[in-house]
Amino acid sequence: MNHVAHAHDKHETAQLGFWLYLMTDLMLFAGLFATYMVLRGGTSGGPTASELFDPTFALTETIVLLLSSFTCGIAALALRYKKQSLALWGLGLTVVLGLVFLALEMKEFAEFYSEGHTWQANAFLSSFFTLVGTHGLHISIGLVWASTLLGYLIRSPHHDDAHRKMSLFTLFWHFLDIIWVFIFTIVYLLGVLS
Amino acid sequence: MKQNHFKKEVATYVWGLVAGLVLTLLAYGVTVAHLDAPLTLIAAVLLGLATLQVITQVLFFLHLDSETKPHWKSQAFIFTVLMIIVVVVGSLWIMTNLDYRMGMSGHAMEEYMLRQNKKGF
Repeated sequence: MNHVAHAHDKHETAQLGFWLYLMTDLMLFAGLFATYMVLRGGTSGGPTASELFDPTFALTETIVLLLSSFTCGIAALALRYKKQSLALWGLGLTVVLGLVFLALEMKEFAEFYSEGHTWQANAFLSSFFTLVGTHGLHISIGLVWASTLLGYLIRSPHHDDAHRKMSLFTLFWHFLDIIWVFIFTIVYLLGVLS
Repeated sequence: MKQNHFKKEVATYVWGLVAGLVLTLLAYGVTVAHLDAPLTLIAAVLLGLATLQVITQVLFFLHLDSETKPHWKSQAFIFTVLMIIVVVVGSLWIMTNLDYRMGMSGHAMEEYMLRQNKKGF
């Protein structure tokens, strides 16, 4: 009993500590959002947001990331109910969807670059690439994390630590989707309208 | 019994996903529909939809509503949201104001300053 209580305590502490890190991460993005909103008019003769962004492309990215957030949540839930194979499928699917999202983002960045819309071009593009790129960097780190977690789950699916490790990654991944909701709205949708 | 609990919890995730999809498609629809409405109104609707989606995700995916006392996570989250509003709205306020004043001619600036002085600080 004592052992179980201790494990539960460790789990709660890790959750709270990681949650506080995520709050500071949100503050980082708040700064980047504020910068983007202030600078987005500064195109210095280059194309504006409405000329550059395709809302349907952004919609595809949003749906892919939302689905990955869902599969990730299901994986964590399955692990809590000791359904190891469902957890593995859920996490595997999360990695695949995350890779698809990252590939879409890379494709968009590459297109902008090949047309000469680099992040050195003007203030609008600098702030755009910094904001969306920082999110993409978080996604990349999340994918490395998820892959190592997947390896851990395959090797020791019944270990006590599995649930704790999984729940921390799930928090991270859900927050990346929450940040993307605002990127989708403020950068892409409002960009198309302005 | 345990199987029932599992199904119930899966259902909250499914509802979260459905709500997310509906809100995302609604926001997309509002954007591409070429509505005959002022831009500020459409922007307010879009930001409202985004906020709704965040609330549904916080409830259905992060389960912040079922947190036990002393609610540290919720407190930290609400405080962070407040700070974000201060940073973002504050930055926009200051920079728009600065932009407005820097765009004036010398004469208009002088009159503006005199008007502000009369109001008192």
